[in-house]
Amino acid sequence: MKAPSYLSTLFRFFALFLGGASLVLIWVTLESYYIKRLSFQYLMEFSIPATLVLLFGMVLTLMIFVAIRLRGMNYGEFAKLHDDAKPEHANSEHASSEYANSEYANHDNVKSNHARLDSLLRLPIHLFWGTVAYGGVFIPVYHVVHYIVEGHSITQVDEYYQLNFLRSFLYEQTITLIAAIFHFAVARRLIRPLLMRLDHIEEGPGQFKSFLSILRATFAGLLLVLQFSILWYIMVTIVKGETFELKVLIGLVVLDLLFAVAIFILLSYQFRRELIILIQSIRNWLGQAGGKTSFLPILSNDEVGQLALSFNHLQARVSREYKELEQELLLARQVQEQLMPQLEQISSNDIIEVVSSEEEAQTTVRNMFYDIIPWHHGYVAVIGSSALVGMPAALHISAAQLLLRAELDVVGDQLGSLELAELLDQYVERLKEMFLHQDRVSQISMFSQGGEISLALAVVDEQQQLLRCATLGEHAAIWSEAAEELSHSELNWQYGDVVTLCANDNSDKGAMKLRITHGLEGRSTNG
Amino acid sequence: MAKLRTSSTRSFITPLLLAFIALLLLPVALLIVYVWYIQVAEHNWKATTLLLVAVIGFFVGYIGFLQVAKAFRRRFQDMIGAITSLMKGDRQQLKGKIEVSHSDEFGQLGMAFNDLQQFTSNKYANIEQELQLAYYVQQSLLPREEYELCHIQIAAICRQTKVVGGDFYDIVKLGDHKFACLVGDVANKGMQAALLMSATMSLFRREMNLGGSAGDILTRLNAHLYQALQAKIFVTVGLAIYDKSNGELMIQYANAGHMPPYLLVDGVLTDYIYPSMPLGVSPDSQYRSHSIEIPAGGRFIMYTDGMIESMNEQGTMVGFEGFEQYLLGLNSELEPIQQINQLMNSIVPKVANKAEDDMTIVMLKR
Repeated sequence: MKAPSYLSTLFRFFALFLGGASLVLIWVTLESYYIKRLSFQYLMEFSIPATLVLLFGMVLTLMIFVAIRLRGMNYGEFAKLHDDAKPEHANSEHASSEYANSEYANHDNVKSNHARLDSLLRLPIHLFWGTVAYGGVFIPVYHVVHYIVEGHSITQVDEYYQLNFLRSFLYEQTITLIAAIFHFAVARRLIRPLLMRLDHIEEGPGQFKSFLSILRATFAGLLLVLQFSILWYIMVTIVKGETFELKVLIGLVVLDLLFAVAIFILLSYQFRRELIILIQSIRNWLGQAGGKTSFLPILSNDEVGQLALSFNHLQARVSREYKELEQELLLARQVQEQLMPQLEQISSNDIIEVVSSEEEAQTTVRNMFYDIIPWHHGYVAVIGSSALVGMPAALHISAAQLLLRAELDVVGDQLGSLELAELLDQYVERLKEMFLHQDRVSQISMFSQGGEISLALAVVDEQQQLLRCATLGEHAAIWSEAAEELSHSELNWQYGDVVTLCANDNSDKGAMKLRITHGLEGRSTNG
Repeated sequence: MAKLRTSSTRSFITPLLLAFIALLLLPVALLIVYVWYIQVAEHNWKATTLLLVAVIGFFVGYIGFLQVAKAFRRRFQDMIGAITSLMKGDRQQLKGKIEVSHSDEFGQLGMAFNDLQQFTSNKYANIEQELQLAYYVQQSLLPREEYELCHIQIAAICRQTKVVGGDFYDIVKLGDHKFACLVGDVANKGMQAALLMSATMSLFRREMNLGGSAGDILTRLNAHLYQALQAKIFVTVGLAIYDKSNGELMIQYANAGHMPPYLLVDGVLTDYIYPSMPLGVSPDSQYRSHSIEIPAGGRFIMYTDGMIESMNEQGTMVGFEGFEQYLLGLNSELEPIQQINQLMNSIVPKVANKAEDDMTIVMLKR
C-alpha cells in the first residue's frame, strides 16, 4: 500500500477542516435565516463575516495541531526504513511483504513504530476534543463581541439577550459537537493509510478506549440539534407573536434528520470499513496460502484495534509454539548427529573410507543412522533405517543404534558368519523385547514381527581379508561396485573395493559407500 | 472501494441505523405531538412543561440508543473474548474455532478467522501427527502401571510435560523370584531427551538380561552410554533389584546421580542418599549396590526431580520437605497406584496443566 506523503496528508486534513467549517457556517446561517427569521442583509453585517473569521481560526488551529503531530511521523525515515529492509531483493515484488511478516525490525524500530502508532491512533479523538474546545471558548466570545458591536451595555444585559446567550451557546455548541464528530470520523479514515504502513504491531496502543463514548456523543449531539431546532422555532414564534406552522416544523425535522443520518452513516461506515479491512487482510493472506505469520493492522484504539491485537497475539503465540517445536527438533537432530561417528575421523588413515553418506534434507530428525564400530580385527560398518519417519523413527533408531553397539562391544575376536548370524538373532530378540513387550501402557505397537528396523551391515575382517555382509529386513541391501547384490555373502576384498550399503529401497535417501583403503598397509609398515 | 463491497450478506449498519433513526424520532415526535396538542387545544404555552417533555424525550432516546450501542460493542467483545480464550489453552486449543452467530461483517470476520485457524491447523497437521505417534512409541516402551511380582505391589506413573520427554521407568521380571525396577531421567526435556530415553531403556534391558548386581549393571550401562554421549548429555537412574530366592527380604539398590529413594514404614520416612555420578559423565565410573531391608507393609519410593522441583499452586517449589510431607500424608490403606495418583495430583493438579518438568514416581509396597 502506497502511503501518501506528508504534504498530501496535510492537504487532506485541510480539506476535512474546510468541510467541517462549511458545515458549521451553512448550518448556523440556515438556522438564523429560517428559525430566527433574520434577514440576509442583517446577517451579512456581522454574523457571517464574524463566523467566517472564527471558522478560519478553527481551521488554522487544527491545521497547526495536525501539522505538528504528523510531522512526528517522519515520512522520510519511514520510507528509508522500508528500503533498507530489502537490499538484496530490491526488485522483487514480494520483498516488502516479506519484510512485513518477518521478525526483522530491530527493537528501536519496533519501539518507534509503537510510539507512532500511539500518536496516530489518538489523533482523531484529539481533533474531536480540539474542535469542541475551540467552540466552547470562541462561541461566547463571538456573542459578547456581537452584543457590544450592536451598542448594548455589557453591564446591563436584558432578559431577551440572556436567554439568547444561553440558546446560542447550547445550540452552536451542539453544532460544533457535530463538526467534531465529523472531524473524528473522517480523520479516522485519513490516518488509515499511515496505520497500514506500521507493520508487525504486536503490542498495540498504550491504552484502549471504547468507541461507546463517541457513539453516545454522536447520538446525543444529533438529538439535541433536533430538539433545539424545534424549541427555538417555537420560542421565536412566541417572541414574535406569530403562530407556528406544522409544515415548517416538519420540514425542519426532516432536514435535521437527513443530516443526522448522514453523520451517523459516515461514522458507522468507518467501523464497517475497518472490519472489512480485517476480513480482507485475512482472506488475502489465505489466498497467498502461506508466508509466515499474518498480522492485522491496528486501525484504532477502540474495540476494532483490540480485536486486531488479540488476533495478532494469537498468531504470534501459534508461530512461537511451532518455532519452539522446530527448535526442539533441531536439538533432537543434534543429539542424533552426536550419536553417529564423525566421518572425517574415520576416513583418515584407517582401513575403510566412507565415500559418501547421502541423507535426506536436514529439515527434521533422521529416520536412519550409520555407524562404524571397531572390533578386534577390523570394523563393522552399518547403516540402519526405520520404516517410520520423524520423531517416532528417531526414537527407534537411537535405541537400535546403541543396542547394536553394545552387542558388538562384547563380541570376541571371532566374527565369522556363524557368530554374526547369532549376534544378529540376539539383537533382533532384544529389539523385539524392547519394542514388542507384552506388558505395556500402550497397546499400540508399531512393530510387526521381524521389526521395522532395516539394517545393512558389513564386517571388514582385516586378518582374513574378508568382507562379510548381512542384512536385516526386506529393504536393506548391499551392492558391489558392479551392482552385484552382496547381501548375506562373504567375499575377499581388494584394496580400493567399494561397496554400497542401503538400508531402504530408495538408496538416494540413505546409503553409505565404503572404500577399503590402503590404510592397513600403511599401518602395518609403520608398525 | 468496489472490490471491498460485500453485497451478498447483510451489514450490521442497517439495524444500527434503523435503531438510531427510531430513537431520534421518538423524542422529536413526542415534542411535536405535545406542541400540536397545545395548538389544537389552544392552551397557553408553558415553557417548563415544554422543556420537561424535551428532557424526558432526550433521556428516553439516549438510554435506548445506549443499549443499542452496547449490544454493538458486545459483538466486538464476544469476538475478542473468544480469541483470547483460545490463548489460555495448550497448542491444540490455539487452533480452535470461534462461534459464528451473525451473518453480517462480524460473521464474515468470524468465518475468515476460522478459515485461517483451519489453514494453520492443516499446515501443522503433519508435525502434530508425528508428535502424537512419537508419544505412542514412547508410551509403548514403558511397562504398564501396576504389577504384583514376588508378593510386592508395584505402581508407577510417568507424566511428561511435553508430548514426549526424558523421564522413564522400567520393570523387568527375571524369573519367579526376582525383578528389577528402574527409574531414570535424561538431563534434557522434550524430543532430544526422548531419543536417549529409548536408547537407555533398551541398553538397560540388555544389561539386565546379562545379569550381575545392581551396581554392575549400572557400571556397564555407563560404559555404553559414555561412549555415545561423551559427557555432553547425562542420565540419572536409580535401580532397585528385588531377589527373594535366597530368602532375604532385601532390595539391592544402586544409584547413578539420581534422587535419593525413600522408605516409608509405619509413618517413619527414611531417605537413602548415595552420592554418585550420573551415567554418561565419566568413562570408568563404578557403581555400588546397597542393601535396603523392606519390612512388611513398607513402601519404597523412587521418583524423578520433577516431583521435587514442581511449583505448587502458591508458586513455590515443592522441595524435599514438601515432598516428604506429601509422602507422610498418603493413605496407606489405598492401593499403591491410588496413592501415587493422589500424590501426583496433589503436587500438580491435572487441570492446571502447568508441570515444569517431567514427573515420574514408582512405589513398591510389600
